[in-house]
Amino acid sequence: MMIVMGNGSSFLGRYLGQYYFAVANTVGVNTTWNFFSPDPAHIMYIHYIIHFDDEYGNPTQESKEFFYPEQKDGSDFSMNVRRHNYMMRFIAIDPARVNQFFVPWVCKQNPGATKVQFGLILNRIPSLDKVITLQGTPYSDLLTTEELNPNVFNCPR
Amino acid sequence: MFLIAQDSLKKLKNMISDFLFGEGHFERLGVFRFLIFGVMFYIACYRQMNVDQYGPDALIPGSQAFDVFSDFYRPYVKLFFWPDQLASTVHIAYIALLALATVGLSNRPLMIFTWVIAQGFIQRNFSILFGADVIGTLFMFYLAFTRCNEYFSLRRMISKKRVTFNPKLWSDQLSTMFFRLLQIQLFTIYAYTGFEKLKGSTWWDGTALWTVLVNPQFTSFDLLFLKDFPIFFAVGTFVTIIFEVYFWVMVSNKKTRPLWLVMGVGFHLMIGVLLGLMSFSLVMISTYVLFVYRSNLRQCMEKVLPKNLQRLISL
Repeated sequence: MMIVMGNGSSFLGRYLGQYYFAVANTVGVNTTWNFFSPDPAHIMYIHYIIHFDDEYGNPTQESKEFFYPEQKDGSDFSMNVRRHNYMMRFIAIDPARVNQFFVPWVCKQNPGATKVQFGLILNRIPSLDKVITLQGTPYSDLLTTEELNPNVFNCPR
Repeated sequence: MFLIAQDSLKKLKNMISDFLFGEGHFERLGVFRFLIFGVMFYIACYRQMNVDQYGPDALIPGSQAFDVFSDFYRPYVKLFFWPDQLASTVHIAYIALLALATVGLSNRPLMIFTWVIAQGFIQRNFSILFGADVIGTLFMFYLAFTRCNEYFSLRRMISKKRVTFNPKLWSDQLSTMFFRLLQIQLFTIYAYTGFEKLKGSTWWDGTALWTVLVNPQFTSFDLLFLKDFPIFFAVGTFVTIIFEVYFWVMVSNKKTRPLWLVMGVGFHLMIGVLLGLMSFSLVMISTYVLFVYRSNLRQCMEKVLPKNLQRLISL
């Protein structure tokens, strides 16, 4: 079971899984052991702006801008802070999770919030080849920034 | 012909029986118990600071905890039996249980209960996990079925009974069988970790370590200067994959085992220091005890422990 479930979504995993899914999924043997794989992640963090509007769409107070995690470059390596970094990645990679979990959580923490403007910021690390080829260029100029999955979500009523 | 086949089958049966039930492994299990529960205790103490993420104000509400799993991986049994309001209290109780298990004052039912709580916290908020939580908890599960409290434990200090191993007793059979499962599980983890990496273009290309080591979200050191030594990334990337994929082969072989284990300690310490993942590294390094010869481990423990603590390791 432990050998097959490391690749549980394979044919063998699906075929044999019916006999032990219940146990494997409960015990935690169903884990895919992918550390820094298939490829290591780039620098990412969530940028979000909370809007407070009245029923006609007029702002009732100034919007608030946040990053999640707060230290967007992850400079704080304390274990308790780092867990938020992991949580951000888990939530941000799936837009459905943003809508289901992140937005209601942010709205709950900010009473009166009506909308959350969301964006996943990805600072793409340049390839080693590029850095070696463009030796004279400052490293910071080689980092490219993209905003992924930008969206505005309404707070649940 | 029939006799030869019968003889071979008998030999195979004896070999399997020896492998599974040949010895008690008390030394290795005892030291491993101390290390793994100790590391989990340390991780849990830190996690107490994140306990809000297991309570009513968590990012993932308790009622939707299983929604983060795809159907394929969704647990069948909900192990977080406590209400969200009690998360902090249950977590403190869990830390206490880990402390008891670390010093060897637990038993099988209590260790299974400790695992249930650990797995319950994993299920309650799957998004906030470290790799060390998952691997450590899985090892706790296997360990809970073994006689891991017979060596290097306070129980040894208190008890006057001699520890014996009887392969005919189901309790001892279960213990040695789960010892082997622990070893096989570690082999599986390493092999799949290596295979998964081979799916990635940067690992195949030999530049994955570059992406890891210059990502400030992964490392607290400024390692950009290493761009002047690109061969370091190529060699490091491939050595990582070879180490992981062939771990089970090299550690199964008695001749190559010491080399691979020493490499592993260096490899994980480097990860721990450079990537700030010391808890994960400690979990992985602690599993190496499962492959150290009993006699070596016993000698080492006798040398390390002061005389007044020798009773902790008297069998």
